[in-house]
Amino acid sequence: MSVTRREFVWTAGAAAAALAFQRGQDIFWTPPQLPDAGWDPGIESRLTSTCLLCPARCGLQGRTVDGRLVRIAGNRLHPMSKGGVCARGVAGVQMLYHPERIATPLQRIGPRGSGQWEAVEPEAALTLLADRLAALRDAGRPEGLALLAGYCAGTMQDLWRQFLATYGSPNYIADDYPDGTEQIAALMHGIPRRPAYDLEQSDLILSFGAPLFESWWSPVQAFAGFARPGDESGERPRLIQVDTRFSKTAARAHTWVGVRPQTHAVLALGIAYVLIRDQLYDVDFVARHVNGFEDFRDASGRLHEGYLSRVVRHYRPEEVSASTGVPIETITSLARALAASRRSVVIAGSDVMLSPNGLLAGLAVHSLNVLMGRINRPGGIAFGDDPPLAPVGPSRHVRLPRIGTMPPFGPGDPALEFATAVGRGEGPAVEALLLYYANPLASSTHPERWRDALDRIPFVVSLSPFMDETTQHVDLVLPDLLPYERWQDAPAPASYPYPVWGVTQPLVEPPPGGIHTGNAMLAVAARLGGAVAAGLPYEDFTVLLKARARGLFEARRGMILGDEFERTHHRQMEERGWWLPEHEEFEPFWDDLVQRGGWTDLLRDYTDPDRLAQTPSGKVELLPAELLRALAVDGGGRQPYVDVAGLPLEGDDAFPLRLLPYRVSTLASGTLALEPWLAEQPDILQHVPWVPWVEVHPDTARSFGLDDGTLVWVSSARGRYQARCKHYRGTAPGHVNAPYGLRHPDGALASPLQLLDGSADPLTGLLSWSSTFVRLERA
Amino acid sequence: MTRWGMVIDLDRCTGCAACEVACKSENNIATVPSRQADMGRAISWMKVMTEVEGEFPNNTLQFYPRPCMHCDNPPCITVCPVRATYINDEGLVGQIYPRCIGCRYCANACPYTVKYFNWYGPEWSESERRHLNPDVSVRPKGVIEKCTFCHHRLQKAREAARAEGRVLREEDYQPACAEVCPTGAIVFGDLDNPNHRVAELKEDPRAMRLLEDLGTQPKVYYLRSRQ
Amino acid sequence: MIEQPLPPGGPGARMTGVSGARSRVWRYVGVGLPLLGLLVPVLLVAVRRPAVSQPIEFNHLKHTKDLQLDCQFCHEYVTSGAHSGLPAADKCGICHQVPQGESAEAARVTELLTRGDPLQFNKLFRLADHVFYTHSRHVGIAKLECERCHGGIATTERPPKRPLVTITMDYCISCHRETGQSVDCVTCHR
Repeated sequence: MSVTRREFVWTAGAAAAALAFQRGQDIFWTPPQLPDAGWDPGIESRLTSTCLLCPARCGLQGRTVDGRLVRIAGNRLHPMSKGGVCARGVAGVQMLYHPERIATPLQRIGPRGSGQWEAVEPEAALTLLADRLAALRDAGRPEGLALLAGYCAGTMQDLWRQFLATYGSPNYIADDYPDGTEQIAALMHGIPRRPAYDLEQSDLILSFGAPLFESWWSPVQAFAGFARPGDESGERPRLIQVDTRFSKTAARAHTWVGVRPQTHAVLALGIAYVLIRDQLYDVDFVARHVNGFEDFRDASGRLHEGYLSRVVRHYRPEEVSASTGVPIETITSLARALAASRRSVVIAGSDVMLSPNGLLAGLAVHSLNVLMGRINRPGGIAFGDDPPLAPVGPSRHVRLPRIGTMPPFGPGDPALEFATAVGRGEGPAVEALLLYYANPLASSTHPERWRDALDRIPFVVSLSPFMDETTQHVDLVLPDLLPYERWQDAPAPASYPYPVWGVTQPLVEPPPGGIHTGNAMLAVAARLGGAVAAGLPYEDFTVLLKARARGLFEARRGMILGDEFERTHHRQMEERGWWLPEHEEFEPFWDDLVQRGGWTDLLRDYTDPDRLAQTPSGKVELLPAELLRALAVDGGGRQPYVDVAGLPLEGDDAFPLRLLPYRVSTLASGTLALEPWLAEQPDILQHVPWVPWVEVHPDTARSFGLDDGTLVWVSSARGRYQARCKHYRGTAPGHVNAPYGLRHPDGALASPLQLLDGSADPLTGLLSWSSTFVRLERA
Repeated sequence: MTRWGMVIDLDRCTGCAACEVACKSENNIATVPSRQADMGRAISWMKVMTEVEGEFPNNTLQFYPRPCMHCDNPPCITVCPVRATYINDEGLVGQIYPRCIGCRYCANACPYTVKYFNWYGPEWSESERRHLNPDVSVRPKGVIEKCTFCHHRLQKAREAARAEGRVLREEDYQPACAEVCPTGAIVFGDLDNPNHRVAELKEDPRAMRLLEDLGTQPKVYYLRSRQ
Repeated sequence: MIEQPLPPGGPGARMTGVSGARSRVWRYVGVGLPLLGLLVPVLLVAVRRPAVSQPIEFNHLKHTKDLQLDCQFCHEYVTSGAHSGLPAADKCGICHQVPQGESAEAARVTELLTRGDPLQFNKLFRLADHVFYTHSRHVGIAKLECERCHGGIATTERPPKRPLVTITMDYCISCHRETGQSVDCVTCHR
């Protein structure tokens, strides 16, 4: 075989090039072992902490390797979460190591929103803030300071309240998750507290639109109640979900009942009708503990129709079936199921409350619990109490009213009320605004009002560790540490019937220059001096937490978190009136408490009348006088247990489809979609990675010429956003189910809440989420 | 003989997908660009499969959390030309990345579609690399990967037991999905060890396996929902 | 049909274009393979891992034999960590904060420490990235002698430029076989 010179050179060159290329790949083709281990010894540790990503506050265990947090799992000693965590909690590591996290303070140098920042030393940033606040107070205008705070139950909230009170400002503006159930409890039971649900002991959970497995107060509490992990006896509750769409909760429920929007309460009263007709309710309980069941005369001698008459007159199964779309047999069988169970609980979800008649609808749904005598009973409704913490400081009240109006029975939307008032220049001028876990430009239903308000406030500080929409428009960013880097406390949400005080301890070192907001505010308080410093005399936040934990140590009740055996043992001892201290001294008590993750007290007194009702009559009021008075004055003729449905709304040609927004389990309202793992699969029912979507029934979608997966504009009279149209047979024809809290890969928000028409329940001020109509057009 | 296996109680599963994310975190699974994810190239060793049936309001649905079945008779290993995938003495089906040549025969042979091909090299920013688990490699572009039953944990658990001078207990070795499941739906252990819960549960009348008639003999059992 | 240009070469070239191209490919391969055989060893030597140099001409022998220091004194994680750990400046400073001995290197260490400069030793022994090895497993539990893999490093008087022992998979496997340890692939590769 002869070889030309050219062939030889080419072949040799190719061989050399191939080898050189191999060299580029480090001779051997190897999978990159990450992170480049170097000389890091790989020393592991496991620490307990508590999750702060949503109100549920589940117990955590973090695995760190050489000081890096690599894994988040559950704390088995936590009585509520029992070692479980949700997807969002596990993905927390991606939040901690998010590349766009802000670690050190930033000061604006260009005009607002220009994105021009200068890094400042933490000390300088604190001085800047303290000087500004000192000047405001010294000028005699302390009410010019306002705080917009996201959900922050626990000592951070108490610290903020104490700070504002001692400073002299009434403006603690909550921007959390009001659902109106607190108002129901206040009216019917005289207890102004969100009711808790003892799911762990229930044998029937009847949920009216509560997103138990998705975005409830604590999905993990619902999981534990539903599945009783560790309990092999097979005694588990039946779950019945009444919902307007085939949600994840509905999918997993033993029975799913699809209803028309805003008719949940009609169905509830239809069930009540059958219970009354067939004498299936708890006659004894109603006779002994309930007012307003029969017709009655009020103090002025006026005759009122009672619950019984109202229900019997208006909620015959035929009528209920016609308005809810639920078959008569189903209504009867739901009533029979309630009657047959011994430990039922009925939950009113946000779909019930966020409607034009929300409060009256909520009362109607909750009335089933009253009818069945399920208040302060095992497996029923409970009114919990707070952990007996020592107070942050002597309480002090500011006499001035908060900025923004307040509806008669409601939380309303204080943040929006505030923004509206400030934007219009009503009330005292706001000269400084602090944003703590609040991002109103994204989460508000009316971001334009917030834009106006921000324009009028000369000094805005964000404490967010991420550059969210609102943080882009502030003057100073004083980023908080991330949840895995800071000390905090984490009381269980009100949905859990027992007091739990979880402790969040740092799992990893904070970045240099990072400041815990608690420490920052304590430092600012010290600089301000006077009443503020005297009201918050703590060196740092850890000292404050320890000071509060002394209340637990001295309470002579409860226990440091323990396993199933320890919990049962402790409860049984307490039931017999015994309580033995686990620790003689405070320091070992604190160390043990931190190591095990918190404190709890699982004793419940089912005979305590104060946990049933604290009304003047001592009975549960089905028709609270206060409510009847308010309705008589300004109720538009509405009557409890009569007008509980929403308005009969129909779409028109311009906006033919009814919009039903819902929260996706894994994402909080308005925060950035920080975790790629979650963004890639935000929901398991819909396979829509990365891009926000809306769910439409295939027939409806096709009638508008929209294929599965088409990118569409969702438009209402107020605005529009882009989303992908997903065909879904679990959506009622003519409706659009729109997940809330999602973002496009470029960060653009897709918020169905910004399309809402603004109709609200005048009693609670809560916006109706289900009264808006939209159209879909190909984008 | 040890045969590691899993029993998933569909009656307890709520489809929360904590298992999926726990798996991604434990096993350094990278996300893929959004367009690629649309094409079904996202990797999820543990995946909650769903199928909605019926029309509103009479829909029904079942969640099937689906890890690798670690079949006793795995169809993937017979087609692998380089023995990159094989079954070991304890019934774990391994995937050896340095050997894999990326031919994707196994992915096509697997009836459960548990094998994922890396169409892209993983992209982690400098800060994101900090949350990677040092016990597991990060797979490069061009290899197949799949659920391992977190066998790196088995090795560590054995070492810990040996260091403490005791035998391996059931709770010592649990994959990340079973560890994190908030409803206790995922139970893991030795199918041949009568002291392990899986040995008893797999005999439950509700027990079944996916595509049993193919003769793959999967070691993941499902307990049918009671509803 | 398009006229095929005649393939280059002699009489054998009177074939169709396709098989002509094939014969050409074969010829390239026929040349390439032996050539590759020649080039590979040459290039392998040329591209061998670069020599490792250290910031200090550390005398192992002095510390292990004369001073009777335990390996674990400096390599503190050798029984508990994945990697054995290398001493940082503060470890050297325990003794070298003040001048020790008469060697020039020792004086340099003290000088470095006084200036507060960092001292970073470089890794000499390396395993391929796809091997999962831990010292805790082999030293902590199995109690292997350091020499098994590191040779006579403890008795060197100056840092070697290249590893004293070349660790191959064969080396690992034979030891695993001898001691009855697992030779399952996933034990080391995952």
